[in-house]
Amino acid sequence: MVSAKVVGAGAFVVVGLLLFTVALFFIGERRMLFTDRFPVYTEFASLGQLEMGAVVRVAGASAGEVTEIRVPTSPGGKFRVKMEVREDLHQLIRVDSVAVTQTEGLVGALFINIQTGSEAQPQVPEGGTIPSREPFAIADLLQQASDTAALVKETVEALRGDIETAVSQVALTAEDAHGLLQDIRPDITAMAKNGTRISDNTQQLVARINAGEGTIGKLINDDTLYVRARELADQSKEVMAQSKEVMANVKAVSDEARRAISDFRSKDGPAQGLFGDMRLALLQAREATSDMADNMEAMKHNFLLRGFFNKRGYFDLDAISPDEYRKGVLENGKRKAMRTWLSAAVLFEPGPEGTEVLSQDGRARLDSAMATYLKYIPSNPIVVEGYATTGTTGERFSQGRIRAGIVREYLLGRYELGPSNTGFISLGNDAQGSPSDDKWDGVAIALFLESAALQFVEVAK
Amino acid sequence: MYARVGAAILAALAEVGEVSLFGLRALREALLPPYEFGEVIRHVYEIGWKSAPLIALSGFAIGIVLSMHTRASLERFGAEAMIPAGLAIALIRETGPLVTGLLVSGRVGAGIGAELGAMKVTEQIDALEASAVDSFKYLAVTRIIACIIAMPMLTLIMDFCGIVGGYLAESTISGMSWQLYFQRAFSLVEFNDFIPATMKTAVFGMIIGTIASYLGFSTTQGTEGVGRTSTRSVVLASMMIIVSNVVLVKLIFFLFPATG
Repeated sequence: MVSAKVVGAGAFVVVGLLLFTVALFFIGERRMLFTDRFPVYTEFASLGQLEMGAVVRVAGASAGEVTEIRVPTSPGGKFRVKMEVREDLHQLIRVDSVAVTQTEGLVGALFINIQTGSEAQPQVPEGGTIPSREPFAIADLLQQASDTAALVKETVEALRGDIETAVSQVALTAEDAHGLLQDIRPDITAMAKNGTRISDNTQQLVARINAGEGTIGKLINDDTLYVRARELADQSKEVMAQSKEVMANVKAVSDEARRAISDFRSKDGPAQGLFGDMRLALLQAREATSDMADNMEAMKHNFLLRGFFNKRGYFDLDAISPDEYRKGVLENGKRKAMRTWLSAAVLFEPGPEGTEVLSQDGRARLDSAMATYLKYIPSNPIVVEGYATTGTTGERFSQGRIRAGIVREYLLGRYELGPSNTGFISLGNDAQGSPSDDKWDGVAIALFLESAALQFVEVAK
Repeated sequence: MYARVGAAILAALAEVGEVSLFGLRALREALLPPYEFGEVIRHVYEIGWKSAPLIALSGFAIGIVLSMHTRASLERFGAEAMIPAGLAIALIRETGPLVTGLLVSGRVGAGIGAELGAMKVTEQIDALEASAVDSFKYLAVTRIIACIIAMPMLTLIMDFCGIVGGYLAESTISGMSWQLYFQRAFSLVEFNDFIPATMKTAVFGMIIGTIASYLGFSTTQGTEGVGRTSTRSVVLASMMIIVSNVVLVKLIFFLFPATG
């Protein structure tokens, strides 16, 4: 009878040996010790922590292990790595298959992955060598990431510089636009004045023609001149059309200028080129209106019309020079000048940037002075004379013109006077007949009253 | 005071020397006839077979606990797939052998020390000698050899049960199949991990058997001495296992570099 203790001891040993065998089998199976394998080689300049026993995969499938690593004989040589690969995967490994070292996950062990070759290439022979790709190190990846981050930072900084430059240019463009508006303001003012002149002149001509006065009236009964009269009428009509066309052009130019300014204000607006175009357009418009004004001026001197102006005594109040004015071109033996002398201290008060503006008292004095004249206008012309006593001759002339202009603008707006009958002129400090010994600092409102209607006008001081 | 310290040191050194000589003598006697196979088998049964349930249960529990700890650590990195391999490596390389040695030293070392100590104080050993029986070879060598044989076996049981316990824990959580689990468990285990770690437990068995037998043979002062021998056997054997493990691991790394 066998002892139970002996059986137990035997069972214990058998179980232990069995477990040992099972463990050996598991490990051996993983290392494919019980599978047919064939050797294949590859070479790496750098192993990158590749070790003996490292797993070998073929297209991701577990295929074998590294069984030998031969050290190169010279610094320029490569490590020769021997791999034992499952025979059943042999047909996937071609002579152009590439061995690549990869990492199991981010921190796992290094293994060799053999990529399957192309169909056209033959199988790699036993003991053959396949090409390799150098190991990819995390450190290299981090270095590349660092380089990329530096590049991004550099790009961002460069872009920031560009943005600052763009903002600066936008600011400069806004300043240019502002400057342009300041520059073109006189042009627009001049255009408006020319347009007003044209309109006034045209109105005068048409009114006289419609009234049949002067030579035109005679033409109505003169059959021989009928044709010429028709031609004149046609010319007048053409002038009107041209006037409309000019006004339309002015309006178009104005719209174009408005659009151009709007473009300038937009962030995508053009810069210097449009400035030039706008200035050119404004210059051309100014020339056009000026030419039109000249044409109208010429018509006024036409033999058919000049009789009216000669009778009136002047063609254009603005065209009279100070010298002609002093010689009495407006009086011409038919009119008598009646002046109201108003000192600058009464009329003006200091304005912004050293200029003068009409004061409240000054307006009241002007209204008081005009109260006497209102019943004589518009059939009798009014001229605002500007005087100044300080500065050089040029400065006195300029100051006088500014003062006269301010007063004339006020009168035109306040009493709706006709610009053709309300002139202004600067006479420097030469104020003949003034209350202060032929010198005057201020303005004088001169009403050129026809002798027949002349009566006493009290002079305000 | 210095004299007492010096005397204690000398006594400790003398005891270490006696234990070492005891162990060397046991190895030499094991190789010389007559061979006590029957006694060896009986002790393998007593030491190995009867310890197997304790070791299996402990291994199973350790496997479950290790699996849970490993999962808690690896899932932070999204490396749950590494749980079986990590658990197997930990069990096979270190946890299995060391825990097995400590458990055996507790159960078997105390038993051997108490048994031989009782025989000593009751003069049964003297009676064997009087009967012309080599008490050292009959009582000590057979137990030491049985410990050397049983320890690797018990370690294998511990490893196996630990991996099974880990599988049960893992399959409960992730539903992993046992084929995939065992494939992954052994995916990183090399022969150099398995064989040296398992074989070093034979040294643990040698240490347990030698210390317990020596203390049993040295027992004095009656039953009180028997209890003291039992306690000292467990303490000394456990301590020596832990200390020797340091040396053995370093030795394994030296002899099998790939395991480092």
